Amino acid sequence: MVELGQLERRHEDFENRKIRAIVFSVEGLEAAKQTQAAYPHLLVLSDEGHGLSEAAGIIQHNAGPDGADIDYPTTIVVDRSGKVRWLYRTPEIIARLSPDEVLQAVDQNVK
Amino acid sequence: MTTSSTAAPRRHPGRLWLALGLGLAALGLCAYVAQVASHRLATPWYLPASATLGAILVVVALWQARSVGRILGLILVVLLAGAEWTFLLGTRLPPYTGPVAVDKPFPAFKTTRADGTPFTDQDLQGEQTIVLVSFRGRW
Repeated sequence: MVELGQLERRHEDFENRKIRAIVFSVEGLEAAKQTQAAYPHLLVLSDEGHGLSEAAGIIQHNAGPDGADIDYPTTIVVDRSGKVRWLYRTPEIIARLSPDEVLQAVDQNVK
Repeated sequence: MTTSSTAAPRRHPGRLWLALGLGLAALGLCAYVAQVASHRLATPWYLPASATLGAILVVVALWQARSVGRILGLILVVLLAGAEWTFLLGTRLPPYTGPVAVDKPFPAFKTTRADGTPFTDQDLQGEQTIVLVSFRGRW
């Protein structure tokens, strides 16, 4: 959740570049509502049905509480036409991209 | 009458190495606590590196003078370095091998916004570049 706080604090930098940050997890609607309230400048998705996670192929099986399936920490940049321009999976579970690294990836990969 | 001009023996040989070794291992831990407190999520490779270097320094201290305290110090720092290497290497993830490909449209999907309305791959198209970030959850 730390990464969401960092993205939220830098929302103006994203908006100024016409970048929309969308965050998602496999948690249910109630948890997603709480997350949305805590981070109002991000768009929060509840991917409880794994529709997005399975399409992206980022499910880590049995890695969550009580052996539930959860998502690998992944960042994907999609351009305005819906094409993928960049994908990053952190090499260690404890590491995350900083907002500056995300912005740099957009600058380098989206024309 | 004779006088002795021999230098006084060093009372604690290697003590500086011992202090440096233990201090370095502790410093790595303190730096990681500070990193987490400042919400920086980069990989802390300095953590096991500092403990490993600390263990080497304690070995040097032990080489110069043996004592139970130094042996215990070495065991402590070696255990710490081992735990830190295990912590870092044990959290490594496999590389991505899924269906998402650069320069290709994002695969079709359907999911739900936090307000309960649907969200699909079509919603990725529009006036803005999209950054999709998965997170592990609130637990």
